Amino acid sequence: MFSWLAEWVSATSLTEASRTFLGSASVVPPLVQTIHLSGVILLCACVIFPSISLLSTLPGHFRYQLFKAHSFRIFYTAMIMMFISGLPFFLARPYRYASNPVFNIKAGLLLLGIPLAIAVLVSYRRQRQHHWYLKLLACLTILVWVTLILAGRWIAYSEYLFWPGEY
Amino acid sequence: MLESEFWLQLEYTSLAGAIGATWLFPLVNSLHVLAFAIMLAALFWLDMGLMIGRWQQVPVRESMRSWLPWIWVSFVVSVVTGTGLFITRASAHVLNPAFQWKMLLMLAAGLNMLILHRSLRKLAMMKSPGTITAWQAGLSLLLWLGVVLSGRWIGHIV
Repeated sequence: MFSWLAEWVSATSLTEASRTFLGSASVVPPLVQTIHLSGVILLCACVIFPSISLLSTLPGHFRYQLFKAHSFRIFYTAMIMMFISGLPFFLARPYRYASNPVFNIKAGLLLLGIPLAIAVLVSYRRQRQHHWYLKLLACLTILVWVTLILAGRWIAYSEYLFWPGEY
Repeated sequence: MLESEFWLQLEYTSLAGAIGATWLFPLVNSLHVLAFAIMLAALFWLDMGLMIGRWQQVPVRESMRSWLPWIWVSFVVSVVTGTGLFITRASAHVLNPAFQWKMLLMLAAGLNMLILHRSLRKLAMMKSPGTITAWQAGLSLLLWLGVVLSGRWIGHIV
């Protein structure tokens, strides 16, 4: 799915620049990964918890007001953090990621997960009552984002579990 | 102590073998990451509320009732799954400086969390928790961020 992108990226100086950046000091890769994980934590805070609350908490509850007031800003911050910190790893080894099926699944699920998360957050802003379709939306959002979080871990695992020696 | 036979014996237990040599390792690791992320997400909401008074205009008791069960249940799951991962390479991990930092920071963060949560019970009816509690909540977030960083660093030191 991303082979065209990998081909384009590797033809530019971005790959070399990213490799230089990530190799500049031993602390850089774990530091960049920490930023990525912090983004994941913020995402759990502003998407997973509001989705769980949609299944149980009534509008007017303080948690409902809390999510309504802060979740959108946290969501944008988390997305920016994850994109910026994930990019150097992709740019440094574009073919490795582009040919990894789990990475492709992750990218595909992101296209589904972002609108789902926004739909959950919009439902808070509009103070909607708890219709059955909102509960369905919440379940789907939790499922997609938990899979997305786990997919991040499985990009590396899949390489030696399913295709050992190919990477 | 760090080079004791005990750590090697841990690696040779049947449980360590079952986790380390099978699909259990990535599964336990996935659960570890998920539980840890959920714990820190709940801690984020609680600590932000304690740090910034305007963040949530509710008594501390409401906030505690909402977040503490999530924090402590996911903390226990993280510790149990983390121990499962640790025993697969115990003798190497105990000598890894990143792992040593992680344990030290986790001890500090855990103690801070325990003291903070105990003091919150006394402040339960107050709307604004006060300066010391606010600083403690900030320290809590910083310490846990340090735990994440040292946790990621473990894999980069072979």
